[in-house]
Amino acid sequence: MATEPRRLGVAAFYGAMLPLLAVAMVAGIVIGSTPLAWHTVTRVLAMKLLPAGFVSAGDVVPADVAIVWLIRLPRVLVAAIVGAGLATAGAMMQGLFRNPLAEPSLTGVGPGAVLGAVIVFVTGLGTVSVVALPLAAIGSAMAALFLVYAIATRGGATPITTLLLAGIAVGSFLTAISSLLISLNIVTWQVAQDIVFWMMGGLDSRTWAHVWLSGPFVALGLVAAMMQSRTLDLLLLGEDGAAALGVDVELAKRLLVFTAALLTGASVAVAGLVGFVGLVVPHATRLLLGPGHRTLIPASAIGGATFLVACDLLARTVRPPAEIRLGVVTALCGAPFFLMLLLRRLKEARE
Amino acid sequence: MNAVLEGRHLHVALGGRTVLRDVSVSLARGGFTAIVGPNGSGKSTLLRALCGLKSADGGEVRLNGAPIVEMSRRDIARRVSFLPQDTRCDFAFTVEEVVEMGRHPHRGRFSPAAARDREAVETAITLCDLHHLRGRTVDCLSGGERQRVAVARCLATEPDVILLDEPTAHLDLEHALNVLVLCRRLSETGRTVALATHDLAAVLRFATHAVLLHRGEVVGSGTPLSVLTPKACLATFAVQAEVVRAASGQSTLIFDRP
Repeated sequence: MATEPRRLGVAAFYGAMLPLLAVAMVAGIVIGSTPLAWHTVTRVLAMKLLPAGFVSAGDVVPADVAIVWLIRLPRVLVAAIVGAGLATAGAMMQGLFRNPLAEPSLTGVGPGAVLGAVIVFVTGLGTVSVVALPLAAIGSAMAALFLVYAIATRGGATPITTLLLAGIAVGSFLTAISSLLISLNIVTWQVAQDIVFWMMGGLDSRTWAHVWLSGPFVALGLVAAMMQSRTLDLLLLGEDGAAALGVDVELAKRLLVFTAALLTGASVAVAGLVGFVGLVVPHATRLLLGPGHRTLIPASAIGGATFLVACDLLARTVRPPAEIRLGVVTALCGAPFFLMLLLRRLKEARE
Repeated sequence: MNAVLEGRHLHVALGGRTVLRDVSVSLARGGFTAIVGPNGSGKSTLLRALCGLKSADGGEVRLNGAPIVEMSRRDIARRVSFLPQDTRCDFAFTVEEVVEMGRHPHRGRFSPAAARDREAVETAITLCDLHHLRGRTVDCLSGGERQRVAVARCLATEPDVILLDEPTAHLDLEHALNVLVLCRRLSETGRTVALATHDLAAVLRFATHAVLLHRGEVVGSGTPLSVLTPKACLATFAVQAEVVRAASGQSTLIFDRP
């Protein structure tokens, strides 16, 4: 039987994770089809981030600035934002459903986002504006959530199991519609390929527009998640237990589901479907730091950002010039890592 | 009588079915009230109505004379602790962390634990004899240990009233006895305690009052001996009961099929 929990100190976690995130982000800018020197990248970043004239241009040429600032940095930032958003949403859903295997898209949000994206692809709206796809995805994700919540709510109360089942049912229905649209358009190979690639997740040719489309939502969602961290702890005692301690459970559930959907929708909108981040990162973080959400939520966000920046780096460097889809990489890395943690825990429990 | 928590003519329906019908109970300060009755007689619903988790469709609940419908969830939570039947938690919080959650109604959303909070947690941990378990995680405790942690969580709130829904249901004799003795001690030190239970012998031994529910109605209320008569046991539980007085002066019940 396990006795004292083996928890990593919060300071140790951030002490390891923050430098790792910084290194991963700079590496994500350095490495690519046009190799750049580390010092070139750091100098461009310093030039852009510090007040004008603080750092001289030195040997940096405008083409380097363009590659760093317009091509690679937005991509790395989107990876970090999406990783943080999905991991935070996952941590919230696992707490809300009191199940460490819950994941962000359970309430119909994932299939909703897919349907929105598929509609944009088949109607060709995506060629009109780069923001059409993200906006449609996040819009339909939220619409799916409201539909699921309305179905699961009776007399002002939303039982969590009903919410889960309604989410699965509506999700299956929306996925079926997406599949129908895809199969009707399969003759247009380009459209079909776009859809399939989007559903595997990826960050190719992401721009500052994508950063601004997802960043504010994820930042807002993170703050909202932090504000609800103690409520999440109390909900793990069961709904009656939380209510008896003064929590307005129905309001809390609405806020939690909405926040998680916002985080998931904003992430999926700019990155497509990226699995495993929302499942593995919060789970692994919980094993390291314990289940208290006040530490778990920010730590999951940092962990998710680091994980996804690293996975994206792998996705485009393993077999250049072609890219492996991001969702494939996260699953290939995430699943064994998850199993390793699980087996280690089982071994510890047996000792 | 000095009633701390009082239900007056409570009517509660769940999914169209009447669960409580004109139920009036009064929990006196320092009393230890046992709510007894067969399965489905409305014990849990009564406890949930008394702490405002289930709003009554008729009648009212008063806490220190004030109707609880006019109070916020948080206000009620500061003064009335409720321990639900299921206290299992699969997440690896430590015992201390769970007990500290009992301070939630007193704390601001972001404020860290104050000296007052830590003191209440320590007292609760001491009362429930949890010092040696405080660093353990609750997902690997035994049923008895888990129940003590749950009671400690209620105590950490420092409430006037503690309501417990079958706190001894899955406990062995020793642990059940510990919980009951603790409840008795709490009531003797001025807390008002009420619990739902199926253990009628324990009611005779420890409770100061008993409320007997049958099909959602109160069919007996008073001292345990006056309520749990052989006649009442036959009418509500459909069992033959015999009150036996032990050499120690304690009374207990022996049951048989009618």
